[in-house]
Amino acid sequence: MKVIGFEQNQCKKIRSYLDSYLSNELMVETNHEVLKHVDGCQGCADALASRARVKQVLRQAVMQDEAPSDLRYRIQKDIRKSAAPVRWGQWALIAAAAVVLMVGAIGVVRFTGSRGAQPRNERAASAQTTELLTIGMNDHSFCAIDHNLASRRFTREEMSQKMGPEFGGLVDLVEQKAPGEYEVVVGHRCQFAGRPFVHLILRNQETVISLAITKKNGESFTADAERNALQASGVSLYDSRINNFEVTGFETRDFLAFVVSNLPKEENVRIASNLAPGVRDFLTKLEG
Amino acid sequence: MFGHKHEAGDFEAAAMPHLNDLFRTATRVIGDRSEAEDLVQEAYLQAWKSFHRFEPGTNCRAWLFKILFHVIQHHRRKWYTLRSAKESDEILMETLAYEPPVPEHLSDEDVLAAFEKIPTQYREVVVLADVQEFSYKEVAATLGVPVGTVMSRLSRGRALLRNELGGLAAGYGIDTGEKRTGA
Repeated sequence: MKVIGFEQNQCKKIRSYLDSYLSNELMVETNHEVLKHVDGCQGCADALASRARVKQVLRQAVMQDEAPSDLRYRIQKDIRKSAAPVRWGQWALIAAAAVVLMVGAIGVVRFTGSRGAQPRNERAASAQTTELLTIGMNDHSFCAIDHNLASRRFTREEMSQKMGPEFGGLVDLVEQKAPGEYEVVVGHRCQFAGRPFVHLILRNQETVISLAITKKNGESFTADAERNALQASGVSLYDSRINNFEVTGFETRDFLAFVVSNLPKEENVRIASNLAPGVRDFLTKLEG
Repeated sequence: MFGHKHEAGDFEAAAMPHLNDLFRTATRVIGDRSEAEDLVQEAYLQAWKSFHRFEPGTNCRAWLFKILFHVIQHHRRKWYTLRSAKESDEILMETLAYEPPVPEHLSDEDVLAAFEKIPTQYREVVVLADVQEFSYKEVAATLGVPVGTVMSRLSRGRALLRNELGGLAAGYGIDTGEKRTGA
């Protein structure tokens, strides 16, 4: 009679999980089960290490490749060519559409006007403020959303290692100051368009918030923008909605910091107000 | 329409940072840099034409990859006939039972040459999941296949790559003994 030991069965089961483990697709409990088993089983530990290494060498080899610079040029040429101004024949149609829109708009203004015009209690952010806030939005969009880093979960050790000793204390500070339902899931250093960031990602179920910090490169929010800025314990906060993201920014002598999310404005500003004083003090200490 | 020039700027700001990732992926899936360049250029042109349908704040990278794979699939249908998955599966059943050890020192060229030997339907899943780090769900949406198919192709693709790399170990004279992992 063939006897299959419990351990052999357990190894078979764990190895069937290894691919999903490597892709970070297991439930937390199963993840723990894999780690616990691998801790005590050399055969499975070797199998996991070998798989992880193959994944890493493949990624490294593929990522070395860069797109040729003339490809970028050709694509930009295509885009600009097809974005060329419309021909005269089309202007007639456009003009007709504009007239229809204007008539419609007048109707809407009249209709809403009877209920009283909306008070304009906030001025739109200046172009320069928006440009600065876009720096933070880009990092959030590229890293947390486009590269899906918000779906990852780093351990505290991984975060300190990736952020370096200088910024290690930031994770605890942000976790203390952020609303209780949010958890810091990622802390690392990243780059967007050659600009380095220290980047924390907080999550509450499907809601993703970034705190992105970058060294100033000669930029600053203007005195004009400061008159419209909100205040949080002596920190001026600048806010704008860019590409469907709410971005609230603040600055210290050497740093720009951004809180970015897809939350409504009030909620994003509230979270930024909670974080700003502590983060400002943390960054000021670094500035010496 | 009036803001076309402005939109072109928006499109470039959102889409161009992903050019290297798209090019690397196309090169590895197609296996030819020059064809990959043409396909990526075509994918960007299609993305630009449908940029009005892209919702700002959603994942631009995933959207671009979906368009790229649509272009790649169209290109394939035009020029190639893929070996059927069934046939590949039969070959795999024979090859995956045993996992030779992977050599310690591997050059990028070795790894890429081994990767190129894997059938395309496995290669595209491995490059999306392991190199571009998309989730199973995103890979499934990009390729238009069920999540279960992504999982099985990824597992088999990875095993095939380990096998190819293990073949290099044998070539280097590294012991490939009778160590059976059973995975």
